[in-house]
Amino acid sequence: MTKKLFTILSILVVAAMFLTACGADEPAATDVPPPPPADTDVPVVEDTAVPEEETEEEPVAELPIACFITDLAGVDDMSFNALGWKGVTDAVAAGYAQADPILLESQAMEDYQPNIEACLNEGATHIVTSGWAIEEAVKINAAANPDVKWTFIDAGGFELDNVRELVYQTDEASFAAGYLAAGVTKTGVIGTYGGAPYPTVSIFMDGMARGVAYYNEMKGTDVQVIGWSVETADGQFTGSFTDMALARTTCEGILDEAADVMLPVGGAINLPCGDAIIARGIDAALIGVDADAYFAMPEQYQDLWLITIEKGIDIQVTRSLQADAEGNWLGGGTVGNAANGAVGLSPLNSWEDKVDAELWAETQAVFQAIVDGEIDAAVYAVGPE
Amino acid sequence: MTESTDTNLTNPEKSPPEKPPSNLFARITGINTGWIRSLLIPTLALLVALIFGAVFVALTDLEALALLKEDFGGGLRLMAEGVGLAYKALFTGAFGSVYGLSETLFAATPLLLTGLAVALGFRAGLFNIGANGQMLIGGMAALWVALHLNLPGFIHIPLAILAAIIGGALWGGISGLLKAITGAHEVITTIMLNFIAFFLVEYLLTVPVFQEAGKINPISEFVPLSARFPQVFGADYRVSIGLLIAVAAAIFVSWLLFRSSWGFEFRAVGFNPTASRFAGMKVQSLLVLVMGFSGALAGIAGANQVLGFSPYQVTSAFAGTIGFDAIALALLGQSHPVGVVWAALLFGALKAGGRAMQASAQIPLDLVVVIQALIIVFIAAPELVRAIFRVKPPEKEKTQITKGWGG
Repeated sequence: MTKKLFTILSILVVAAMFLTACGADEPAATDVPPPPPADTDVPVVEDTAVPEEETEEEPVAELPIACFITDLAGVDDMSFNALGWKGVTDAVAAGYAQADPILLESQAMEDYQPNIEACLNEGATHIVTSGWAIEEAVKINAAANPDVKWTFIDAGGFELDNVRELVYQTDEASFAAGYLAAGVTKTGVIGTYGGAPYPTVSIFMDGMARGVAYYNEMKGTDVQVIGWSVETADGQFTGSFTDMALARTTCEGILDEAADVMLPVGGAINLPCGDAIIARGIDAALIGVDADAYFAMPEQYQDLWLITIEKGIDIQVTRSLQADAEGNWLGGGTVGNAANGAVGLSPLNSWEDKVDAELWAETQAVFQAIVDGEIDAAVYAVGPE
Repeated sequence: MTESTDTNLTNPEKSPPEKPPSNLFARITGINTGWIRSLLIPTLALLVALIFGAVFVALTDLEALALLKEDFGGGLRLMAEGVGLAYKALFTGAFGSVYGLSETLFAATPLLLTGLAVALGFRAGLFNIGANGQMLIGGMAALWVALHLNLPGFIHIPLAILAAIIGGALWGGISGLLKAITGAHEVITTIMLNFIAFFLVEYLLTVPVFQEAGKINPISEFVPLSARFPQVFGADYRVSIGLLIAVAAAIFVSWLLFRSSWGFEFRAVGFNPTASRFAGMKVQSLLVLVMGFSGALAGIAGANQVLGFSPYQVTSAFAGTIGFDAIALALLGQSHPVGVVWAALLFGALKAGGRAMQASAQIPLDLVVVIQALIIVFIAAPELVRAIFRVKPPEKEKTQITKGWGG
């Protein structure tokens, strides 16, 4: 019995060794008749050798060589890292950056510096980083490499011409989402909580609460918001973007107060709230943030997403690379807002049939009024510090 | 206890007519010849892990998999090329240049310190899962000294490290104390203390005592020049005196475990706490002491993370996953300081090389983690490795890892 197992394992290992052995030096040793002088150079040429050696001296090099560095959440965070990388690959697909952009995931704080160095060593001319924690490393390296362009996904305290900071007036779309939520709620209570009291998180909660207040003002209703107070500019935070149990407890606490539309802000901390809603079997909805949650989040939650407040990180990253490619790139703070299409509302998706058509038309009208500047929903200060 | 019982316990599996260690190194550290053979299984485990890793690289190469259907040989060749490219990048990234080597050593530094912390616990039968929390507390203690005492470097740095030692020792000592007094299992308490430490740090970084002025995000003020670890190989390489401290710590732990009477008692408790108690040892206080030492070592690693590298400013993530990697390290090093040194170098190399693998071979970093995990799997199952390579088991091999639950 065990002997058999070991034999199988041995065979597996030997097979594996065979594979690696091929990898090590003689690529052709497996099946195909080896081309006569098959050593290292000849057969490789077709695919692998070309992109690696390209430098900015080549004639094609009008286009930026992009390098993307994530923060600790990694590129599969279903949030701003994922969107930032999408922005880079979109730019490549649209011909604004050279093929094979480099992706470097940071696993620890001490990875930022060597990851930036790795980008520079690979000849990157435009480095995109995500998250505030990389700020200091970017500051140091951007100052030392004035020829390289940097796109920084968040606000920072840079005073450098070669760094573009992407900031978002997300409260504009949150305002419209709040208006919608106030119209959808049956209990008259909307809940919200955030991962941490960062401005990039609070701005969603603040905008949503103002939207609810606007609805109350228009309709003479008294829809309540739990978890954010516009007056004190403070609200409920879990203190973690990763502690799912805590997120669930927080969500349950707000559901206990009869909330039936929830806006949890911060990575995947909205999913435990979805679990809570499903477990209770109540008729409640979630509002997503960043990327359209209906598509970005796991399938079992699809019926829950009322709408997503979209933060077009990908759009602004692509635009930054486009500007670089077209030679009109500028550093400094760049605000994405409703007017330039970098902030917006997703379609209703699964809630299409459940939302009153008139309410949806009103919501869109409110958003349009924000775009046109008739309603000033951009209350929260964004931009370089 | 006399000196003779001490040497007996050093090598409980050896037969009596044993040559005393001859050279000075062996006499100081208590390490003798057996260690070369003890490298065999870890080395083979590494080899098998690399082979399986290669299979992973090959099987995740979608381009090659697609080609496999049309042109089997060509697909295989493409896969093999991918594997070759990946491992070449891994190797050159870690050892191929002075920079690569320095990054390997840089990454190995905190791993070595925490690995020693965990290994020390293992020797006494304690499973210290709390190295991360001890790092965090030690690091914050060092950060406080760095930020709030205005001293010249030659006294500022030792003082900051001392603060880290005390902070880490206290944090580790709590678990030891809880175990000694109430019998609470250290696995539970250290894990819980990790959470407490993390959220404490997250909070502390938002108060003006630590937070950078004018910031809303939880990020610390910059460590002043006088408290920054000097770089050993010049400004281009990140290796700092932290490495020297870590090596000194390894020598100290060797001495502590194999040449001091405390170390003898630690190991005795690890082998059999009941017998140790009957032999007159104060097992309770030993448990606190071991956790204190263990926490102190992790605390120094925390100081290294705070004072050791640019931009000399930290977020609550400064301990990363080092405290957990350390468990793997201690297992790989078979809880022996020398083994831990090698294991730290290996993990450091995987870290430095993993980056090169991402950058030039475009292979996700996750794969490096897979290889690390595979190494642990094969280390944890030495019988499997022996069976694969037909290595005869030694007559009697005892590597006391830790006591089970309620031990």
